[in-house]
Amino acid sequence: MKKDLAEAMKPRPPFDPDLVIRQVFLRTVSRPPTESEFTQAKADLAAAKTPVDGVRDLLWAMLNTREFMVNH
Amino acid sequence: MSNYLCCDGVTRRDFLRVGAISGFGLGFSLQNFLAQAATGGVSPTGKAKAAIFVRLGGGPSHMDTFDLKPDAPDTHRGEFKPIATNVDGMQICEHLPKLAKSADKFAILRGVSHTLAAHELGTLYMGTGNRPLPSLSFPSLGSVVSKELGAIPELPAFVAVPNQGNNPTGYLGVEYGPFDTGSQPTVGKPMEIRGLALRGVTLDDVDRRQNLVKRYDTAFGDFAKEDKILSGMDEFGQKAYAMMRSTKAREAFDLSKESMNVTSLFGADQFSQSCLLATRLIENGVKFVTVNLGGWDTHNDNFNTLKNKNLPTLDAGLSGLFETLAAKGLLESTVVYVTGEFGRTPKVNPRSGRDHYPRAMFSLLAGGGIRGGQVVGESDAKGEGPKDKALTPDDIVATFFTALGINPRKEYHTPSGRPVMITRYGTAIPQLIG
Repeated sequence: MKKDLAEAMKPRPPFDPDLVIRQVFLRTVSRPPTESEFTQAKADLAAAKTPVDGVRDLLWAMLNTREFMVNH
Repeated sequence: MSNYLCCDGVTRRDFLRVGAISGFGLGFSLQNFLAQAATGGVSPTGKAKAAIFVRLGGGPSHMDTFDLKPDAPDTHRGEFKPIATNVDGMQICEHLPKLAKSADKFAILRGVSHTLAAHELGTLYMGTGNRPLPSLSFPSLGSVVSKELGAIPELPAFVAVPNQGNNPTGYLGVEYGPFDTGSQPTVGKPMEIRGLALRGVTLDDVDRRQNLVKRYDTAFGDFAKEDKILSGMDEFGQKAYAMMRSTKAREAFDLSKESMNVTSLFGADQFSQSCLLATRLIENGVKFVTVNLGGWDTHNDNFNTLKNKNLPTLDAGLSGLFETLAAKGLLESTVVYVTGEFGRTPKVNPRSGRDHYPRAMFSLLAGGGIRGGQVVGESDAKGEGPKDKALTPDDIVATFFTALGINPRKEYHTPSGRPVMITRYGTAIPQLIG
């Protein structure tokens, strides 16, 4: 409990959309995003209500592609 | 397996006959002949639009349900007596009193016979109308109906409560698979079907996310159109999406929306509720519903199990099904097929049980223009085999499809291009239809 609290109190790096998008693709379909996917994702994240919502939606979408379902 | 068949489905005898005709210069080409053979010379006149398949998993004893032998010796007869029904001359087990009052609605097929005493094989034979082959997987009735009759936009064509079992689509492919509800309805609890229940997510969320997926799902490109699994997934993805958004779909599965009059015709157990769900789904446009009632594999203590559990459950659910279909005006357009995978040994075993026995069994057919209130076929004095001509699973399925306006000899192609008829043998039973 104390350990978790200490972790949560640590200063966090600012939200880096580029890094997060790349991470989302690597962690779901095991590849980096293509040029067009990257641009699309940046636009989608910017348009979302909060960054967290945006990333959540992106993760959900990636997990529901046929690419993920068939290949991974 | 017939040993005079060529692997392309043409019997050598037919081939020779055609050859002889061509030889006489009558200009009757093989092409024409095959085309005529494919239609089977049968014109399916049926007008039924939907079907319900009640699977009695385990293999119910014909001797203790719909084909009693009160005059058989003690070793065979069993503990139950037959009772009269509302149809003269038609008698069924005393523990099915509600069904006895609905006997005018269904036909009992006795002396149904095959040779496969194993659960999976028997189930496949009864559920596809084709004797199982190791080299080819035949599609279940639901898959064929799904392909022939198609689905309405917001509901699946083929629903199974709770599931259809292994490889139901056979060579037809994923697109014609069932929507497995995954659970059976319970009285008093809303039925939460995975994939339908929204659970706090709004429709706006659903739409937004769906658009997102479309944008990112381009990795397969055009290849996706040619692959059966991918296009099946697409097809299902679209359907799932349509179903999730549809109020109609949600209400069809919501049993609390049913009127009290109808609900009171059923019992409170899961099988009865599944039957009620089946009538609702058919009413809303689903084309084929499978309902399951298992527990019939009574190798031990057959009579107590039947008397205390299986028969009352079957009685409540199935009578409710027939009466509700009739009350809603759906019986004329809905075929109902009730069957297990085989019958059970006429001679009672030392554990008061009966074992697997495919040589004699029963099935029920009703609705969809099939003439109910009669018995077709007969088994011998001790229930050990058909008395005269056997009714085969092929014949029953041919009757089933004929009622639905589907030609049982219609030819499909497997993914490798092999032509296969829906059911090669079996002819519609004339006392039932046609």
